[in-house]
Amino acid sequence: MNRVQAALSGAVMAAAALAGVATSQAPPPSPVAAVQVDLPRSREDAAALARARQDPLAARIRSVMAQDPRTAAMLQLAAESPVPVLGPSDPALLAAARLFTGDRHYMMSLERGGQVIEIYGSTKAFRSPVAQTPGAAGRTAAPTRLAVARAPARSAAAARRAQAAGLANLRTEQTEYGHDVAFSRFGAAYSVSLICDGQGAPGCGEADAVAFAASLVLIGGGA
Amino acid sequence: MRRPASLAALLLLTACSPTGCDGTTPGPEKGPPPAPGDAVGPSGPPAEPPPETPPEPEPVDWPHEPPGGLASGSGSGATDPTVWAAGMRFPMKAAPAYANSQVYGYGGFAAPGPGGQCDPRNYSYPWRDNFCETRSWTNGMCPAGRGHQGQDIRPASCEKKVHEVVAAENGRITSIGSYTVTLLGDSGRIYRYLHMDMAGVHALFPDAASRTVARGQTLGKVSADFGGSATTIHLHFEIKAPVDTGSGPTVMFVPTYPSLVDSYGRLLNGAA
Repeated sequence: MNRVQAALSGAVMAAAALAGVATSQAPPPSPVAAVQVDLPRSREDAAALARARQDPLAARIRSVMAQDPRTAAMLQLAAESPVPVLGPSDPALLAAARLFTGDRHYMMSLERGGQVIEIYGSTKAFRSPVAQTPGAAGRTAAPTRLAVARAPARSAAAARRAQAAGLANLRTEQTEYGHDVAFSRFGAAYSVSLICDGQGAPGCGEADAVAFAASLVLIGGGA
Repeated sequence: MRRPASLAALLLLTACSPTGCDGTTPGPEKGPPPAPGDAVGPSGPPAEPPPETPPEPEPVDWPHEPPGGLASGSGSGATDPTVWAAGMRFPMKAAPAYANSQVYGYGGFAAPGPGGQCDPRNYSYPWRDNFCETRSWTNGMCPAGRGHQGQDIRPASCEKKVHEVVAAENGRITSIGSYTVTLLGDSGRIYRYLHMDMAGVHALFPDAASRTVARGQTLGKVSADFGGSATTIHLHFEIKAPVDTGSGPTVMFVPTYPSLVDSYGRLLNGAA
C-alpha cells in the first residue's frame, strides 16, 4: 500500500511538472521582445510617391548623379531599394555621401561643414506587445499606444516648408550631439540626424534640421 | 471502485522496481554503449557504473533594479519591459560592467554625497536604469516627454582606453563623429556609442572598406571623449528604431535598459 501511495505521489508531481504548475515561488516575468511589422502604403502615399518621381528638381538631381562616376553606383543602389530613398538636393553633398541599404531600410551618411548628417528611412517598424504609454507617472494607458513627444517650437519658415514638402508626423529631438527630426512620408518612417561637435554648434539647431529634412528629394526606390 | 485508465498509466510510469523504471524485464545492469575498441564480453573487466550526470549549473545572476527604477530624485523612468533589441550583444566585451547614472552617481553633478567618479560605489552592483533620467532633451518614451536618451555604463574599472566596446549586432558603421560612433544594424536598428577613445576608433576603422562589422567585433575602448567637454569614463549607449506607435510610425529612441539586462545575462552565462 505504501508503495502505491508513493507511486501516486510521484505521479502527481510528474503531472504537475509536465503541466508547468509552479510548486514554488514563480520566476519574474520574462521581458517581451519587440516584433517587426511592415508599414502599409496607402493609396495617398502611393500617389505622393508617384508625384515625387515626377518632381523636376529630383529628376535633375538623378540625371546629375547618373553622369557622375562618384554617384552613379549610389543611384543604382537607391533605385533597387524597396524604401523610397530621400537624399539631399545638393550634388556636392551627394558626391561625398555613402548609401547603406538593407532589409526594408536604408541610411545615407554625409558630411557638411564638420557635421555628420544621417538620413534614415524604413518601411518596417518595431512593435511592442506590452508597451504602456509613459504619458504620466503611474498612469497605465492603452497598451498599443506610445507617448509621442510634443513637438517643440520651431522656426515657422522651416515648419511651413516641411508641411509643403509632405512631411507628416514631424517630431524633433535635441540630442546629446545635435538635433534629430523624425517624419513619415510615402508611408515610410524617416529620420534626419545632425551629429555635431557639441550642443549649440552652428548649423545644428532645430530649424536647421527641419529645413534640411524638408529639402530632401526622391533619389530612387520604393518600387 | 474503478480507477481511471490515465491514473493507471501514470502508476505504471512511476512504480519503479529495484532494477529500473523502464518497465522492461529485469536483466543485467546497463552501462554506456561501448566505445570503439573497448573490450566487451564475459572475459572483460566488470562494467563500471554509468557516470552520474552533473547537475545543471545555477544561472548566474547579478543585482539589478527593474526598468524605470531611476536613481532617487533623477526623474521618472520608462517602465516598459520590452526588449527592443532582442538578441543583441552586450556592448562591452567583458563583464563586469555597471549600468548606472553619471550625473546622479558619485562624482557627478548631482551626486548623492562626496566622492569622485572612481568611487568604488560607482563600480558595484546593482545596476540602475537611467534612460529618461532628467534632461531637457525630448524623449517620447519618457513619462515626462523628456529625458536621457540612452543608458550609461561604466566599465569594470575606472580607467580610460582599457575596456573594449563591441558591436551589438552585425552591421555597418555609418559614421564616426567627434565623440559618436553610429552602427546601423542589419535589423534596421540604429545603435549609437558615445565617449569612446575616438583616436582608437579611427585607427580601427581607417576607411569605408573597414566599416562592415560582425556582432561582438571590437569597435574601440571606453573613454571620456566629449568633443572638448568634460564627462566621466563611461559608455553612453542608445538605440533608435522605427516604432509602430499605433498612431503612425516614427523613428525614436527606445528604452535601452531591458535589452542590456537581457544581453548581460547571456554574457554572464556564457551565451553572449
